[in-house]
Parts: sequence; C-alpha cells; structure tokens
Amino acid sequence: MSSLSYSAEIDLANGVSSATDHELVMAIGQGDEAAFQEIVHRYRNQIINFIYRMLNDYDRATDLSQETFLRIYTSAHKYQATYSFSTYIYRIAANLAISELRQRKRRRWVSFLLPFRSHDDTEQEMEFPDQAPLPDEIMIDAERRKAVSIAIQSLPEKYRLTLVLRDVEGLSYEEITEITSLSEGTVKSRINRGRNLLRDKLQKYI
Amino acid sequence: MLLKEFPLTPTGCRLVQQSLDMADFNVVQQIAILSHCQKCPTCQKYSQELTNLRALLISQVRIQVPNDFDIKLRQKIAASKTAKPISFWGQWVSQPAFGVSLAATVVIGVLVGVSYYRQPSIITIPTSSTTEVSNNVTPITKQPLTNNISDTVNQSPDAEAKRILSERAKVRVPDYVASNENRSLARKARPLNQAPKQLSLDEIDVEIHYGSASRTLPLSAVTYGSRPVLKVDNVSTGENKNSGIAPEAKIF
Repeated sequence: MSSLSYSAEIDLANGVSSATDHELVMAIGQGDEAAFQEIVHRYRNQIINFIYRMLNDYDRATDLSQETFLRIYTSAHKYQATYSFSTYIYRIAANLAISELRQRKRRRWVSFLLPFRSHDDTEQEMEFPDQAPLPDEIMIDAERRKAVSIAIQSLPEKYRLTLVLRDVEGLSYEEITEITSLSEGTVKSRINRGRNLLRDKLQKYI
Repeated sequence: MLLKEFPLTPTGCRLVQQSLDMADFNVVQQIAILSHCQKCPTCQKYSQELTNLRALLISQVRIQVPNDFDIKLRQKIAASKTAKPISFWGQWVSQPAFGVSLAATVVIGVLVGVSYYRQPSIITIPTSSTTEVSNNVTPITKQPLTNNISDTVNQSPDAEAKRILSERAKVRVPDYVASNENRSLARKARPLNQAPKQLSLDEIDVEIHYGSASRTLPLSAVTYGSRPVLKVDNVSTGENKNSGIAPEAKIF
C-alpha cells in the first residue's frame, strides 16, 4: 500500500496527466483534488454517453454521471485494483443506470414524461432545436439515428446493457464480463440476442 | 484446408455466423470466413446486416458534457461532505414502499375493526336477558323438556305435555299456553345462532289455577311401562269441585 502511494506521488509529481488511472485513484484516496479532476476529465464523456444510451434522458444521464464520480470520490480509499479502473467506473455507472431503469418501471403508471413519449410508448430521442434548414441527407440521417435510439430503448434491460457496452462503447467481452459479473458465455449470448432483436426492428435501415 | 473449416453446410454456416457475432478472429479465420461468405448467400447477407447494424450503433451521436458539469459535481461533493448520514430506519421510512405498506395496514385494520363490531349479537348479549326472555314466553323455551322425558312421543311437545297434564291433574290446559303464537314470539325473542336452553325436570314447576287462586307444584316424570309421563304431585281440586271453575295448568 505504501509502495503504491509512493509510486503515485512520484508520477503525480510529473503531472496528473501522465499518471495511470490506478495512481490517480490512490491519490484521490489521499485527498488529491487535482487527481480527481483528471479522472473526471478522462471519463466524463464516456460515462455520460453510456448512461445516456441506457436511459435516453440527457438530464438524468448528467445527474447519474455526477453521482458516479461522487461515488468514486467518496470511496476512493476502498478501491482495490483487482480490475482496471475503467471496469470499476463502468460498473458503478451501470448499476446506477439499471437502478434508474427499475425505478422508472415501478412508477411508469404515474409517468410524468407523457408529453415526451411517442405513440408506441417509447421515449423520444432528445434533439436540440436547429433553426437552419435541413437538407434531405441530414433529415434521413436524423431519422435513422432516432430509429436506432428508439430500438435500443425498446430492448430488455439485460440485453441493452451488454449490447451498449459492446457495440456502442466498444468494450471487450472480458471487460463486460467484469462489469456485469456475468460469465463470458452469458455475455455473448445476451449480446447476440440483443443484436437479433435490433436487426428485426431496424430491418429497413440495414 | 480453409474450406474444410467452414463447409457449405448448416453446421459450417452456424460456425461462420457465430464467428461473425463474436468478431473475434485472426487473419486466417477472416480469410476463411470471407471465402465462405462469397459462396453462401445466407451468410453473406448475415455478415452484411451485422456490419450495417454495428455501423448504425457506432454512428449514434455522442452527446456533449454540459458546461456546468464540473461545477455541479463540486457542489454535490460539498453537499455530501456536510450532509448528515441517514440512519437505517430513516432510509427505510423514506422509501415509497413504506408509505404503501402503512396505508395498506391502516385499511386492513379499519376493515377488521368494522367487521368485528358488526356482529355483536353473538358476543355481547348477556345471559340474564336470555333468562328474561324465557320467563316471558315460558311454555316455549321449555320445549326441549318433552324430548328429555319421552323419546317416543310423536306429537308436538306442547300438545303432549298438555295431554299429560290434563290427564293427571284433571285440569284444562288453555290453548294459549302452548299456542303457535307464543312459539312464534319465543322464536323471535331468541337471538339467532343461540340454541334453546335445555331444562331438567327439577327446574320446572306447574302452576295450577283455581279461578283467582293458584298453586305451584313441582313437576316430575314417572314411567308407566315403557312410556314416560309427566306427573304433578299434591294436586287437589276438592275445594273447587263445586265452584264450576275448571283449574288451569301453566308450565313455566
């Protein structure tokens, strides 16, 4: 432990940007704010996009991303380098996203998102208003992205998680296995089923 | 060599599609897969759809982190440092399930209470009131008497008792003593679900009326052969033989 802390201090002396994730987390556990800031900058884009793909809710994705980093900050002293840090942070984010999805399922009958739902009971892709006229190609592209997003949201939670981690975030099977605590066979099976479901839903785009 | 690994058979197609799903193969395998797909339209279509699907998923727009992300994160960290830890009970009470369970418990409690207070007749009627009712409609509440005395009586109990009393005491038993009207009154007076009180002969007296006078005598049963009959001892009607007034008997 002391040797790890020592090595973290050595690397951080050269600047947090050159330190490894593990060294940064060790430094966060010792109260280093700069190390925490570096971790946030390294992972905030990935985490917010991953949660957004799971929830399709920009504001909630932002909140849960911040919650993920808050948990990293408060439990950095408990961190054990059994797995890579990226697996650790994705695991926290995945748990928060799944918890949010389950809460939504429970309170769906009093949904306050009704105005933002489409006729087939799936949440609409968030799109920022653009006043510029859209060329046909852009419109088609936007429609396709919207269809993909709706198709992902319609997947069962267990298929959605593995498929997003693999095909959207580009993680390896081994990393997904560590994040989800599932066997490799189960992970592959779920990804395959998720793809088959998506293929059926997006037949006209592929 | 390579074609042997992925032959144009259902098994070969299945292996190719599995490999495509995993997207985890070396250069040699990739050549074998490409070679198979060029000759197999099914696997070719499968490969094309998979490639397009992955392209669609990867092409999804990456959202941007909001500008105030770090500021809000700092605020949350500061808030978490000052926030008091919530106790186990506090966390449990703050759950939505707690409210639902509490409401369900209250509703069930109210329903149980209402159902309890809606059936007081069985539980709360005191024994004394039953006795009072029996005294008011004396002949009827003693109806089981005849069952104790004679199992062989085929007539109605009241009629049998009237007949026996008339024969033994040589008195006229008025009809009202065992009338259907009194029986009906007794039935109404008796609470539902309450069995008629069983009386022994020791508890029953016979009241003999001689005009305005009356005597109360104990009732007993004796058996003549196999037939039990009611017996009233010490009945004397000598004083009233010439009065022209027939004595009346009343069971109570």
